[in-house]
Amino acid sequence: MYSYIVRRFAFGGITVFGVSIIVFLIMRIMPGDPLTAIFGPEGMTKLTEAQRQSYMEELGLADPLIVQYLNWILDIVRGELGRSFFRAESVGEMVLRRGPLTAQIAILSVILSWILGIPVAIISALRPNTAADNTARVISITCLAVPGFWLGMLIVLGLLFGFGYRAPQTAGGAGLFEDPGTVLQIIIGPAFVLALGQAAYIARMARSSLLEVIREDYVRTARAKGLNGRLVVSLHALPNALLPVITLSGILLGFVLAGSIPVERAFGTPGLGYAMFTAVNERDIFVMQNLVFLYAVVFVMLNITVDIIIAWIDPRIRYQ
Amino acid sequence: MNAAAETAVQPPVLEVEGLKKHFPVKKGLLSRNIGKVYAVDGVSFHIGPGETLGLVGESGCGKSTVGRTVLRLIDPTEGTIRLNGRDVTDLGKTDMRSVRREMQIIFQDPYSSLNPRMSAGDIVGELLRVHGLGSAAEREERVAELFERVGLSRAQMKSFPHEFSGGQRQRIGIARALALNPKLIVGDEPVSALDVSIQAQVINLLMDLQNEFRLSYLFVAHDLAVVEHISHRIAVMYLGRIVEYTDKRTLFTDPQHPYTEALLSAVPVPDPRLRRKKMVLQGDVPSPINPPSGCHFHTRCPYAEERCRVESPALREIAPGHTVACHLR
Amino acid sequence: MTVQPETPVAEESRRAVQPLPARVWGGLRHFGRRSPLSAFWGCVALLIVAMAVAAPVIAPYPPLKSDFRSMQKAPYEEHLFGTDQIGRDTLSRVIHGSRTSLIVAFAAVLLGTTLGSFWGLACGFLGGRFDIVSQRIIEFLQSFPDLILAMAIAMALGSGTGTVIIAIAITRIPFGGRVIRSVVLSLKEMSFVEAARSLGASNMRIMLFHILPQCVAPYLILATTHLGVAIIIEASLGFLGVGIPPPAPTWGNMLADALNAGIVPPWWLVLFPGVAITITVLAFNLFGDGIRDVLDPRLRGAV
Repeated sequence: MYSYIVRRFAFGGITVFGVSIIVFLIMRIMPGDPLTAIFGPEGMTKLTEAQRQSYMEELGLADPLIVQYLNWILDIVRGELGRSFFRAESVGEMVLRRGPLTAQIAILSVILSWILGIPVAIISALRPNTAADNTARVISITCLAVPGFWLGMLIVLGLLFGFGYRAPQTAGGAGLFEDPGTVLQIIIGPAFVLALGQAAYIARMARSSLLEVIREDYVRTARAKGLNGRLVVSLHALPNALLPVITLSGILLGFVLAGSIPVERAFGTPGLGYAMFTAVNERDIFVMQNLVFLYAVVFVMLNITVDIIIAWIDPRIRYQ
Repeated sequence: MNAAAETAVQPPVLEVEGLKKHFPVKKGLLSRNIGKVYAVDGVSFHIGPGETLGLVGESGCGKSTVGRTVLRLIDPTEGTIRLNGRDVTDLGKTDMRSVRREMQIIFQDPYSSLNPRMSAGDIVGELLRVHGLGSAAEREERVAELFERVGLSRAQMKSFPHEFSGGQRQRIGIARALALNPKLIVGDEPVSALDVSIQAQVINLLMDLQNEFRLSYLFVAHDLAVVEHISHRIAVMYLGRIVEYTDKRTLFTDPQHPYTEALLSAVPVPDPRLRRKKMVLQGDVPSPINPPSGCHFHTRCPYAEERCRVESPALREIAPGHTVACHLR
Repeated sequence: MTVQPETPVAEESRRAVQPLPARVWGGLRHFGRRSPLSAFWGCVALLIVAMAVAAPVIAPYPPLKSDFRSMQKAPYEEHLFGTDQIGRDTLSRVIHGSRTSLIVAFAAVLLGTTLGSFWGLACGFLGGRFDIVSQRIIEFLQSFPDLILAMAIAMALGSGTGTVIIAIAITRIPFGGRVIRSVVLSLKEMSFVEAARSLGASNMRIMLFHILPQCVAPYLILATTHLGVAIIIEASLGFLGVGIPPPAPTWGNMLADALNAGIVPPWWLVLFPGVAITITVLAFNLFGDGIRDVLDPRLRGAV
């Protein structure tokens, strides 16, 4: 087990290194230079050549690519995530201030997706190919087709017109435990929207894996011992059937982080996703570079964590 | 059949000497070699014109590897392969192309051995196309001829493999191998995947073709019952080595190696009054990565002595044309 | 040793000699019987494609024309889907939006899946170091959630139809690379490939005649199953302001405009573009599912 974890992290390290190179290259293929993004096309024309040069040097953009890359990595190692062109706040501060909200949204959405998806899966698996199963299938297919951010806009509008309710736009810096009421009101909407898509995947996966497990001998034995169908499923089949669902959920969590960008924009949630939206619109390359890298690292870490959890639960995996 | 007698006079079609094939076992990130699989470990035999050599052994003993190495589908680690007196062991790609016309292979699985997206006619005619022989019409005519020869109809040339039964597919495989009048055909368990009733049909077809074209066969199989009918001589393999090598009659009436005895006792006898001595082997075939010391068979041999554990027995000719690798004979 | 005539053989060969249109028609009927739901949504998908092609004819107004007499009007007879804050007809913009959406999705999926598939083909066929390095690069690319990768690329390349297509295409490459590679690897183990080699066929010939044709089905499956995702990414990019720049009528842009229209976005500006996205994605997803089931039931879940 220990060697498996070490090996998994070593591979993760290689992946993070590769990811950093990809992020860096993407951010340096910008046509025109970043100064255009800062000063605007008009502002650019007013700059003298000397001014441009000095700005470029100040931003470290005049160095050779390899030096720029190494400086960036060194900064990250030192915990210095760079600074926005437009705001006084550093990226590090921004992540610390806005990150928790997005993390809470993501985690809540995973919890909601299990609450929504698993019961549906159990109902479907107990009575496969019945009206209930088919209804569940149609609903989950639809959930996968609905863009989350649009659903978010509809929910905001619906609440506003129906109940005159609008979620608070900010908790004033208070955390989940200081002001749970306000924070929950902020995160519940995005979390619900993000949960729907995941729930659809989870319901599908859990249904097929339940059906597979139900047919296995030990469940039949349990049934032969006199346990009735429902109990058999809950007592014997569920824990084993949930294994692939855990993997899926971990992978989906990474996609939720990405999905939360447009969803936070739709709800106006002041999370990290919204910051990403702002940065991409302002073409703020240093913020983007660091945030994209951060998201990718989190994504890689999530996958490693899931692998390790699975290996811990199911020892067969370690030897593959 | 007197083919066995003829071989003594005529130069052999295929001569294999000291053939070895070791596969590296790789592990980890940097694919370090951590060992070798001794799939084939020093095998020698020869096949005369119009003769069939049956190569028999349990799965994993390296018999299929021998077949593939002979055809140079796998490159040998050591040893020489001579086809009609010509050394083909180290021939390059272009030289091999001409040699390939001389020897062909029939595969075990009639399903995966035919490309599902090609028509039966195209499959059989591919060899002609690869070697750019004849005009399209001539090739078509040749393919039709082959179809009829193996018992399929001309009309079936346009059909696709999934439209045929297993036995019919194997006939397509045979037609494909025959396309250029090869001298040698390697049958890699060509009937093992078929129903027993179909097996006999296919074996009869192979024997008819042999008489007609003076084909030589290297016939790989995992049980003696199948090769009994078609072979002239039989080589028994165990863990990469030949343990007994003689003509069919001697092998069946007077087996010398304990392993051959064991294999024979598993062959069903059609006459219920005849009773063979039952001999059931204990245990499994040892791993070819770590073959046992001395005689490879000693771990399962009922007669094993101390000497067998230490010393590897050489193939000795105990009677004319009958070689055995056993200390006890 | 006679060959018994088998009825399915006879039937199959009769089918093979039928003229092409009849065979295509037969295939479609087979598809319809096999999965009626997919066939229905396949028709919907076709209708959407038709709508996109005929957009200028169907749309009641030019999508960019402002009508200053009716700005931000809720749906009424003259403007069935209402108008936006500068008086453009929502219905016309939704219809024209299908064009952009489909062009981007088709082009991106085609480009990405094709590149990925050829890459996977090369990996599977060449193997060795090339394969190891390629698999690493593909893993790096898959370490980004696809929307984030598309966002970063679209931002870096600057806005425009071409860049959105490229951005989405790059996120599709790993799928083609992985799936086709594994298909090729399993094909290489098939004995018909070995048979071809024993005939003396060159690598090129084996590739073209024995491996490539078998990759067509998985390729088509990949392409169709990814259309829906591509449409959603395109809409998300538009919504986030890194898609095709306004005033182009794309569904994502329309939703972004609605949000920018004021504190309370008018409901019709929100509802209709989203419904269009949902129906289109639904249609292509279900159509793709059907294609996958018909072409290769074993690939269920693998793609």
